[in-house]
Amino acid sequence: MLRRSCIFVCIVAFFGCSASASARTFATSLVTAKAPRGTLGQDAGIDVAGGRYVRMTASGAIALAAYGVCPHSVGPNGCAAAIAFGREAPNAPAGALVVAFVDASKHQVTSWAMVGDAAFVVIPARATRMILRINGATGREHGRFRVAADAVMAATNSTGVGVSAAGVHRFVSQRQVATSAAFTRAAAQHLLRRFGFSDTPANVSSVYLQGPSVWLAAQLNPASIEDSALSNYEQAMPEYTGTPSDDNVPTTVERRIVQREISSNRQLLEKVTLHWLEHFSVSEDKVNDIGAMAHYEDTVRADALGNFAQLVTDVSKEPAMLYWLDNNYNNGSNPSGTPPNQNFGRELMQIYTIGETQLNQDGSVATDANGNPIPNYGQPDVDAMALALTGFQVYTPDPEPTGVDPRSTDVVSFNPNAHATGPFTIVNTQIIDPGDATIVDKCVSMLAHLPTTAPFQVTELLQRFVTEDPSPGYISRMSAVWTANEDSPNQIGNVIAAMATDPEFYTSQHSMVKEPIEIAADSIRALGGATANPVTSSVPNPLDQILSDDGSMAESHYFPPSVFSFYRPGQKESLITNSELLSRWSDNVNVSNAAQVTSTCSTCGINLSLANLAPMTPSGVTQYLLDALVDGGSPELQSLVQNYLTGNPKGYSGAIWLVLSSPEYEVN
Amino acid sequence: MVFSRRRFLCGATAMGLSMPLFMRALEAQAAATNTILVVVELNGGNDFFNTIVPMTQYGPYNDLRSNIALTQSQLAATMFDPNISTPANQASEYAFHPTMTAFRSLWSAGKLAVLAGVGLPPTAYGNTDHEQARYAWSTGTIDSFDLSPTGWVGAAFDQIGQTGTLPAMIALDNDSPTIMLATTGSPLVINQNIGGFSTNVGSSLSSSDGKARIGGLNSNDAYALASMPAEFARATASETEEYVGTVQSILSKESLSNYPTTYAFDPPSTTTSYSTVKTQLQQVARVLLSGATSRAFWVSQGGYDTHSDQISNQGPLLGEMSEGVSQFYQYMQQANPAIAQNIVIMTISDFGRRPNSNSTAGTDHGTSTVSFVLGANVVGGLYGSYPSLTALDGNGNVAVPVDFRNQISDVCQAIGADPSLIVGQTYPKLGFI
Repeated sequence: MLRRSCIFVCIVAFFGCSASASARTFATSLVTAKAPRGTLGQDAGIDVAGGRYVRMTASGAIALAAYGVCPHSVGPNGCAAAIAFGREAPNAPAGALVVAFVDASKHQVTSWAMVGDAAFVVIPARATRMILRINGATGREHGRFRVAADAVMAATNSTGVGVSAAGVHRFVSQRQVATSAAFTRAAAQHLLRRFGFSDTPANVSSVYLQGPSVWLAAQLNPASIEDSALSNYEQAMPEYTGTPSDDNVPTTVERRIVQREISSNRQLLEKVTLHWLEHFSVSEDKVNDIGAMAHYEDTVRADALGNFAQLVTDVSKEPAMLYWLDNNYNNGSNPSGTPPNQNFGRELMQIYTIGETQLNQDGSVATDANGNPIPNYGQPDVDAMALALTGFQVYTPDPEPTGVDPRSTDVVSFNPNAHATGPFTIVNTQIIDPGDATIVDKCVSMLAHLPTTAPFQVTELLQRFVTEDPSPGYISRMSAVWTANEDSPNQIGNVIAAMATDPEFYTSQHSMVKEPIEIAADSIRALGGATANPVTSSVPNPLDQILSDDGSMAESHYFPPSVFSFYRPGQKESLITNSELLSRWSDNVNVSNAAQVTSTCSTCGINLSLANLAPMTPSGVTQYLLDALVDGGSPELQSLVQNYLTGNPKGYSGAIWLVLSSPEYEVN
Repeated sequence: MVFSRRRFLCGATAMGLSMPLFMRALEAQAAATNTILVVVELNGGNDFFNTIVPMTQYGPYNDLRSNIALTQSQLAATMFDPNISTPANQASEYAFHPTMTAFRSLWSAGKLAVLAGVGLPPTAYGNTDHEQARYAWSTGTIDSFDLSPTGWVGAAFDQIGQTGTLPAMIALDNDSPTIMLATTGSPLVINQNIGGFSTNVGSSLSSSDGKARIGGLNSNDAYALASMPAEFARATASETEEYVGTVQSILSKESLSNYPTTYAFDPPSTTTSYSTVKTQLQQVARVLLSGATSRAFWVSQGGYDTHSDQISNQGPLLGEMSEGVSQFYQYMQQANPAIAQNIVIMTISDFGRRPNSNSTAGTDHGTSTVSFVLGANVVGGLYGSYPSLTALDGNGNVAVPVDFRNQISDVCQAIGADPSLIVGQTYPKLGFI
């Protein structure tokens, strides 16, 4: 069967053996005794008889060579010196490669070894699992680390251990030492695609020439960026057409936000706004009030680069949030009666501010004297927070104003008679009750100033914009910036600036998967396109495919599928599925169909004029498209596209479809 | 983060990247059984006490949640005793939610196991938080996040081995679920978009030409990509092309024309809205009846996080779930008894909810809940124990008499996997299978 043959092929490639026959022999020899010589890239395999060894290098490559019990008296070419047992880990510095063994009976890590170059490590007889990881600062169990490999071993008897089906869970990220590399054009593409929605080759070159700090400085001050074309477009749009609660009928406001992402010059603002919308994950499915959703979106945008506590406070008082997490008409005034709804009280802490367990400033999980994580809150804190936040009520004035922007129709008021009486003890802090709506400000401020909030928020930001596995050092640096700006009105913007200018940002290229909105918006922006005005154009807006897709290409910003938004930070690869690929290939047709060189596609809904391609050769067109869409692309993709264009010199649509449907385009 | 495609690993080593790679067992560690597992995930945390109402504790039940308590007359038709043979009109100790009449029938047929009081240990951190609890139920561990490389269904199939015309695991959803993360293969993800595959790009690229060209790229193992995510996308794309034709023909209505049934099952159709658990189970039926050898399916139903308005939300969900599961079970028995014999359907849910209701007529996150297991080989009955509603813990929550890993362990054994390698220890069998 295909899978089996792949395993053998992998063994061959891995160990450098030349024939499948010897691969079979080698593989069988695993479960007997000796390990043959072999090569592991640059590393030699194990050449010892009778012992259980793992050969590791600083790059994390491992060969599990053989098994058996190793007497400690064997010299350095045999077993390593005895490793420390017990729960106390050796002092392993940040970035060190550590192997941890999980004991069968305790299901806990009972032994550790720090692994240096070419070290040998003995596998304890009782170990059922071996975890290779790069350490966080503490080197302890539950510490934040990057797992390099994880193997479950089946204990067969007291003298040996077989290896069960296991394999790579994670790979060692290329831990490049941050250098002060020059800001290359590729770095400019990276910056614009991560902190915006990509851009045309001409604009990329412009940012490259002016340097990142000029672009960032402007983008961090969105009011300074002219955006009149977008404003004119928006002012022509009627408000709130469509059925608010039907997610198959995108409303004008939903189209508007996607239009901003594609057309606004304030790219950073839109990208960060998207982050916060995914962070709060409010869904119109339950809110059922499109005006409230638009109002909430505007509030998020206004605060997106500002102060975090202010952002959370403002969102907490939005009608959409009050509906979403049941804090509307949540009554806490009767201390001996039915308790209030705890949904918002819990999620405010768990998802929006401090998270479940305490973190160290480098993002690693803090542990107590027994090595267990420390919860940030317990049920009593949820009880108290829920009580503290009671009293808010949303109502629509009667008579309802007509001819007025529906977003401003709902009024949020605070009813002291529905409010529980403080003070409230929450997370070991006593909150004095002001008896008015500023109780939210006080609770949020308290949460925002807890030390654990900085690494929690910073890690989520890094996972969204930079890498799903940020290093402890990166998290520490950003946590310091976050904390230093705790009371600054530009807190988030300053953290973004630090993230985008950190050397580790520039070593994270091509490391993340695009989410659906990036797949769609990047293609249009990179090719210099614009969507047709849905007001004046009778053609269905192709962006509707993002808004109305029920499946894997759905990312209607007002309909996140769950409190975990569209994907969990750190698990973006779950977006790549069979269904998503089929949707994407199909959706790509809409974009590529619009690519016209000599005329405008009147039925496409996108204006994508590529007149500059007309005089180019197939090679030139190939290079242009690949530069715009995939930063140059691989030789295979280049030859695929160029071959196609050579046979179809006017086949710009087909060429664009091929690039957009390639695996490389899936990557950010 | 899992880049676990078999081709991905081959491709990666061909790239010459120094990547850890462990030798895999050359023989299956465990002997696969014929069991076909269907996991039904109830997202949000299903309230235990309105799903199975304790008539023997009705007083405390009503006191704790008078604004959402179900009345005795509402529950009359769905009452049951632990003794399955006790007729309905004499059963008095427990009651299913009134909408679960389908489960009440299956109970009296002796094919429904009710696992009472199952959940995360109260000392496990995050036991009442969606993210951690859901992760625990998916992986069979209470480790810190991301320590486990696999979901428990995935880990089971890593042991058993994955062979056949389609992947062993199939998820009816938009994204890959954590529960099916594995290292020797990934689940096939089916939603309505698998029915459409258009590569017609106006006049410049024909459908077949586009497929052929991009197909060549996707199946090129030597496609030397510097990016791991791109390689993962390539491997997935290649696999997609391998399977899409098979899946499309399975999901067409015509594939079921050979299986007439006298049972009033919702007629399968080609409208591919996968939003309800009933429709998802219909697709599972199609796949099984087509002869595919896939052996694990995952479907889900959302909306159980009933912080408010529980009465209007939970009942319809439970009704749809129990009807859908029951219809699927009975349909398969009519259509293909040999396959139906092997099917085991089980529910899981993040956690239960608090015994007391809140002022918005809902309930907040709590501890233990109830799971259901159904199948021809399932020994029907009440397992675990119904916790006391008067002896609550310091947080006002009930005890958790059955560790969630016990349920997972028993099901792993039914599939043919060694549970101790997945949940870390061997649990005494509860006895439902």
